[in-house]
Amino acid sequence: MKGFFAAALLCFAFAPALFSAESPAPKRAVTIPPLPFKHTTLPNGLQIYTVEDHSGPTVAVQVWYHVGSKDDPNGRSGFAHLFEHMMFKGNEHLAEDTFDQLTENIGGENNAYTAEDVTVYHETVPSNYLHPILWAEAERMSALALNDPNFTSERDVVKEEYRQRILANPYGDFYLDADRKSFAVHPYKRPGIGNIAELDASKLPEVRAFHATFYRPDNATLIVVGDFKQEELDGWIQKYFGPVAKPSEKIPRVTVKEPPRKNDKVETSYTPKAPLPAIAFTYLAPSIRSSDAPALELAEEILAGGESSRLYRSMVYEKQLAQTVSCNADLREDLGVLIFRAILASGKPIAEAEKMLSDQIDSVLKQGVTEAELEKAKNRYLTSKLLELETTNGKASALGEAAVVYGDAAHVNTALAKVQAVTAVQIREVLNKYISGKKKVVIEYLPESMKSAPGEKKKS
Amino acid sequence: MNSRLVSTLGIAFFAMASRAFAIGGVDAPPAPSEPHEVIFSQPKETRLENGVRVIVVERPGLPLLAAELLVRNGAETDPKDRAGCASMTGSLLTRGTETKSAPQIASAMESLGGAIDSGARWDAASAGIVVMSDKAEAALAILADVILHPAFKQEEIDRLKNQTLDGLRVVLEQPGPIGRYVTERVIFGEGEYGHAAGGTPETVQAINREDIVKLYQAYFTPDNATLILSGNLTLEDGKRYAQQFFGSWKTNQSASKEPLRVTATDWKPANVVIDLPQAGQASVTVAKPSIKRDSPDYYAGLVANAALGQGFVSRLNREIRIKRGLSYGVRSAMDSRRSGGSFFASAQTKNESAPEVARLLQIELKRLNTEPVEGKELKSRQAMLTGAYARNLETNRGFVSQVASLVTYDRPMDTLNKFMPTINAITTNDVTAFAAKYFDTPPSLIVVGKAPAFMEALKKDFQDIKVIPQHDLDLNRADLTKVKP
Repeated sequence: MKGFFAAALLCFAFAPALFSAESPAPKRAVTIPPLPFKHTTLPNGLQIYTVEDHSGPTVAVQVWYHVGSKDDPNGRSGFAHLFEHMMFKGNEHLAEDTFDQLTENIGGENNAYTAEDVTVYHETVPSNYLHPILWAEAERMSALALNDPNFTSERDVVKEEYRQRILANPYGDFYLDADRKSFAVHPYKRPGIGNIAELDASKLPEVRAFHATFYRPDNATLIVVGDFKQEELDGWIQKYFGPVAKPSEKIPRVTVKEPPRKNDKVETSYTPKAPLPAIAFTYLAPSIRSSDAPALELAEEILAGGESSRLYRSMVYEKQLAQTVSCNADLREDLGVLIFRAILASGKPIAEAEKMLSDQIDSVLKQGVTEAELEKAKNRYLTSKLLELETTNGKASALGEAAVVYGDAAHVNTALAKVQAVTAVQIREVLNKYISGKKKVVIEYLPESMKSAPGEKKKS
Repeated sequence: MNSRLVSTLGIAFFAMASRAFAIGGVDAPPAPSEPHEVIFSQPKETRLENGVRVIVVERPGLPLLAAELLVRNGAETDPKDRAGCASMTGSLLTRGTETKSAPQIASAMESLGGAIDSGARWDAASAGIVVMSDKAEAALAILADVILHPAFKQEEIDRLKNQTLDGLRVVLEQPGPIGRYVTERVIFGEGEYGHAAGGTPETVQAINREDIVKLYQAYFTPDNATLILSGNLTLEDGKRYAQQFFGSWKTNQSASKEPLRVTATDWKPANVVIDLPQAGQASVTVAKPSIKRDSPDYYAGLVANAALGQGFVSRLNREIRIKRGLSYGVRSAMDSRRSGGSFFASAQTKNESAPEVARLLQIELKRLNTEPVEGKELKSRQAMLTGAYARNLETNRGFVSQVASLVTYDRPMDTLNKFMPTINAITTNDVTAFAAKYFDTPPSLIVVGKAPAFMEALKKDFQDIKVIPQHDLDLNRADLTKVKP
């Protein structure tokens, strides 16, 4: 509220004067060298982005498929992720575990992840192994050879992943609730990790069908960054990826439009596992490709990035109402969700925590943010971008995200200027656009011990 | 760096891969080309008059600086019944100095776009920063202030205690973390590494300002300190920064140190189950005492561990994850410290599968004795270790953490460039000898989960299992059991 806001201002005003070494620092003297990427498209539709960079003896290879958990078939929540695991099971040329053999055994690494909109396979290898890795990636793009024993066994691994991430974690279900409760109709409402029942229901032929539908060159983007010679690389890409057939069927896309919310909602659940209550507020937010995205990224930083952020300072440090607090502008391809979360400190009433969170949000909506806060958020953004560029894999990830998620590879080099151009006024306007007068979902995730007499639940 | 591997492994593997009839695509897998050499920046060093060791890693390129001020003692110095004291002392450094409040420190550092954190681990405590190069001086001024002039205000101690206690409430509901706490006790007993480094609800409650100040005065001294700087700077820059910000630091002559507790040498295996009625999964661990960081067996141990349970290709992941789908991931680790060490292999699995996973962990540990790590398996494990080491040195933060580990355990700085050849020189006999020496006798078993789901089956393979209900668990005691009033 106002009282807090004044305190915050005071402190920001003091900070520079307190450190004598902190002369009026040159304004962002540091710049980021652009990633000089090359782009080509094969006749079968495969998009290719490469950056030749001889600063180390490694090369990063990533294949981004434009399919994610939002494309899970009906009744098969978690399927895209299960499928990702099956991509390591080989085909008639590729022995099972080829990728481990071609990476870990020669000092490289490999892994993959499934997000709502994309599935990404990535390897970092000593650069003399680039050639076989490209062959292997092209092979699994062409075909998978699967059988029931390896399907059942890998599905068990995925079920253990679910148990480890969700069941063994006291707040696992709380984190999934943000998606489950925020979206009314969009498939983003189904968490990508799935659930045991729908994983159990999935069948081997569905894996083959999923590959045929989505794992095709015109739905894929190949990223190669590191120690290679462009001409040699182009030849290998042509040789291995060139012959991969492009199916004639159209790629199915999610076309469901999430309608504006009609009502505020409070979703309360009780758990025997969590010792401290947790709360979340969510609002619908725009696509990651929206021009509002840079301002939302900075707003997230100002609200909850670091210990000098507004929410940490007020709720965790000063009032000690919360054990942790976060703000996440979780922007995706179709639309996003703005999530505020807090796990309460013990013995604190949830009504008080909810009020304080609301007051903090209101304060930004009404009074906006300060220039000092904006400058801090921009500096932190710049540092995070520099840290991303320290590794070949980091560079490849940044390029892949720009090309596929943002739909504009140039974004990898233009994002910084867009963020640096955001003004304090814009941050306030953008937050008002998505919060003021919009419907809010409140999630309360409470210890079972609070489930006492009706009407008393909010007193802890 | 992997030249020997290229020919042998490549041929063996590809022969296997091309067994099937072609299905389109290219079925002849290409061979790798010649490897490119890798040499890491060699750290340069100097020492200030007050004794502070200064190590600079010159890495021209991105305009970044990572820095850490390290003292060579950590959680092992926790006084008896004050587990978590070093950890709290470390955390409190950034929570207020003689002239700045905790929010002022956070705000100043974050305004620079950087981050600062501090804490304690086994054998070391530190504060570190990451910042853009043009903000180096301002950030180092903050780092020096929190190291030289921490205030340890009662208000901040109380706040941190509450946060730590709430954090422990959450942690002590989870099978994995409980398993790790219990494992330390089972390996080190009443010794210097047996207690919970982050504290327990009882000890955190008991720690007072006097304990913290005493610990700080005893160990945060210039002659026990090293400043590590990695990034776009030169040795000359580093010397200047060190003198400017840490040159005035004086040794506190009056500080006294309590003698450290020592781990008993007559270790005996113990099988322990913690019954956690709400556990959504069981955590299963086998563990044994292991070697100190300066043991001559260290590198053979790293290779043995890599074969057993590091990475997807390791024996444990093949048997437990890939073949049987029993876990999302298995991991083994050799945790070698200044005056002792532990070795453990651990996995989480559904409660009903805990006995099978326990049996497999034990079998694989024994198999290191009977089935040598040789040929392509040995080469694979060496490559994995050297590759991971090299990737860690891709970043300034990675460099600082490797150098910090060498400083903590008094290893020479040329270890950075000797790591790869040393690992590659380990032979099958070295690994077998290591396994014979350290894995010949049975390990301890630690299972945390819903005991009724697995106890009966577990008893078939393991005898003398002590079952402790969650509400009777006392991490402060070597026998792990609360004293009945």
